Amino acid sequence: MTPPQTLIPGALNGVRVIDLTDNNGVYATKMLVDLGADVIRVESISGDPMRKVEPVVKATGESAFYAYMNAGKRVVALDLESPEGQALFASLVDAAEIVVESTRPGDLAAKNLDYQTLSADHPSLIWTTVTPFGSDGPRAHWQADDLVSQAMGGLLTLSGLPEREPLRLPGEQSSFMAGLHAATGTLIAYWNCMETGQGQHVDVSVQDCIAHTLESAIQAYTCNGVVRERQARSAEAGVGMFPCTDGEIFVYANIGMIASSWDNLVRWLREEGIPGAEELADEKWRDLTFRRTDEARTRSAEVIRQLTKTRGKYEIYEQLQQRFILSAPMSQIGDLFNNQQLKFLDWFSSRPIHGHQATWPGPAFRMSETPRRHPGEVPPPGAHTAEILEIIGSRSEHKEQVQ
Amino acid sequence: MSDQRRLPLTGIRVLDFTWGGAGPFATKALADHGAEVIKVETNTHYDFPRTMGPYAGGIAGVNRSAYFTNRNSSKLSISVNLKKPEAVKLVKRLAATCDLVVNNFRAGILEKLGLGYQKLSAGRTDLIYVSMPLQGSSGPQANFSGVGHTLNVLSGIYGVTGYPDGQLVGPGTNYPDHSVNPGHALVAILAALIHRRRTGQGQYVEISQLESTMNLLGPSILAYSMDGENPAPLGNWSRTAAPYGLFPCANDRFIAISVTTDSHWQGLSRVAAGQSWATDPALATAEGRLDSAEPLRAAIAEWTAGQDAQTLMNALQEAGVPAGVVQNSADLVDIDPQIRTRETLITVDHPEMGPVVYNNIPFKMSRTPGEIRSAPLIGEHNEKVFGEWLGVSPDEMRRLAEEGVFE
Repeated sequence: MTPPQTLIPGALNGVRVIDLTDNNGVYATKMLVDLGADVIRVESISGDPMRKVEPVVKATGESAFYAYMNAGKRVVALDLESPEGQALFASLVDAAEIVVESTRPGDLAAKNLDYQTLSADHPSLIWTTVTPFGSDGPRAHWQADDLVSQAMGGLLTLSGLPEREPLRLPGEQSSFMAGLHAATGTLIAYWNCMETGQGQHVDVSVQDCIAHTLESAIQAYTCNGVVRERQARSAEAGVGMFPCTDGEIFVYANIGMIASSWDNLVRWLREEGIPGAEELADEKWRDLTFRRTDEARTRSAEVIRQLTKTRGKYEIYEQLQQRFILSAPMSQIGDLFNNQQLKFLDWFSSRPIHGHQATWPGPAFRMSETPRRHPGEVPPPGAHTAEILEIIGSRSEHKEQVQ
Repeated sequence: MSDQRRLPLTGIRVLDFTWGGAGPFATKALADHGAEVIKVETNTHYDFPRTMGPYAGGIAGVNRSAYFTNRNSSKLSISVNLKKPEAVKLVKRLAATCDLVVNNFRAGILEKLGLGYQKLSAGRTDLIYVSMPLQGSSGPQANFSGVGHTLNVLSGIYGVTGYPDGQLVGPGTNYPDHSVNPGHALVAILAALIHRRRTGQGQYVEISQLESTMNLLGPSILAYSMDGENPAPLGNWSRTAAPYGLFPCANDRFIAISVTTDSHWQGLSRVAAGQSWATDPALATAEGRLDSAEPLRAAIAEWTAGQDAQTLMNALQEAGVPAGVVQNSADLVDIDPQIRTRETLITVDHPEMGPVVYNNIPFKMSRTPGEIRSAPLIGEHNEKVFGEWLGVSPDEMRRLAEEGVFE
């Protein structure tokens, strides 16, 4: 199958993907488009609900979520409720190697448009389903969005302050967690298909993906009966946000993970003659129980603050790093554009969206031989319907001639 | 099972230098799907998840950490002291038999040992070499170190994770280590394998964890570039729909309720029959509910406050309302019937720890499913890898061991 000339070489050059995903699965097809696949997104004739997903750009009224997830894809508007639309969808799948979809379990089967039906004459087809709770099981039909998924998957309970309610991670994080596991499963299936010629169904539950993202919370319970919950801000001495002249610096000098950060911090505080630094060298500061007391947290913060408050956040970041003390400058979105390392890496790129200047995030990974495709056009509704119907038409003509 | 069934990545051999949180979680997925993943370890400096628990039965030990086992399932482990030239020589011989070499060291460390991409790819074009440095392999911050928690801050996620009154908290975990950075690494590795299958050509792949993590904020970065405004933290609420968020239940539990359509609202109203707000005509439309978002939140919170969270969730879901208990690990392990049915968590025997609970592979392949096998003891496979595969004689193995090569 020859890809359109607009595609630059990528690892998945020439692989055609049908994208019928909502927020749950769309990052998987975004990964595939970055890798050079020809991704055809099927949208409803009444419009793609993703075009309203926040954040919506105030200047244009358009969804930045939609733009980020779908740039470079082609879109076709089909009425999957009509027999004509259903026949076109089946033909489109016939012309593809991979389908990624997140329709409600059973919906496509009711239209004879599910994997079982459409793979019958297309044994190499790979079909990935991404739904909140997976395609089977007692709760397969339950509904969830990002908030409900973060709750049910066990992530929400781990963030926030103990005295307040648990706190969701912002920005549709379920999309990323589920999309990456879905892309992984899809690519393993594609690899297997290259080896054996056989396709398969890959079933992804968003809840399972989030339950896979809980650090060691599951094992803390199964090993020791400890139910991990959200923790106090700066739960341990040496950990927390500290004021600088132009913002804040995060210091992560804990002793459980990489203890040398704390030792190095205390050494530096003493070298600088910070009042109270000598106290922190006492052996009791190596005891985790003591470090977690209010007394220890408050006292250590007072001392560390004397060091940080006279310096800029990037200045002290560099100084902390030179001394091997885990740390990071507090960064809001706007700060990221001034990050020296990202500038060096030339990470951001510019490409207007429908005539409006925009700066795009750079690659998530870099490949020397098959670089990421740069963000393409953000497709307007139904933009490629005619050319895609033409693909289907010429294929079915060809089939008729062969028959 | 594994004896009869061909796992999909059978035949791929991986030399795995990754350690800590993110790297090993990527290579374990290759191992679970049949790749021979050889984890390079040393007793002189343990991979830190081995020494931070949680430990089986609460008893500490280098072979007893379930944090380690969960991230290193199905792998082989060799122990070598790379300060000894003979150890480096053996590892180089091993590398020559591998399809992939993966590491997440700071830039330059493997190069100093002669195990960098240039050296290992000399004389062969098919090697896939994967680095996962924190911030790229060159540049002003390339040598800086960090963990998931510092990456949360550096990448900007901390700066958008807070309550609606502006109090920032950040994620409560080393968030990017668990699905996102391993996930991007896996996608890149599999794409490189596919490219090699097509062309015979290997390549150098770099997953800068900063670049990877920042894609989680991709839509917000794009929006900022067009509007020039930092997004205000939103907590659990929504700007576009109401009622929406977390509501308190009995026993200090919370339930998430997400009403984004009229049909969700009608479902909620049926479950809340008898409440005055449930039949208020002003709330029948999305606009009406958004206009009354705050009083509606308070009224619903009053209604949910005494209720059992699981019972309320079941009722709401059966009425077609997206709702979910803020579940903790005990709920997932003991109560959730979906987790049980899908075998999201599975138990695998370990020679020292006994039965250990692992997170299962979060995608189910119908034809070639992967399989979680036990994580290795440290150095468990020295004999297999050096003796059987590289043909080092028993006498030579003994001599090398005496000289500390396998420390």
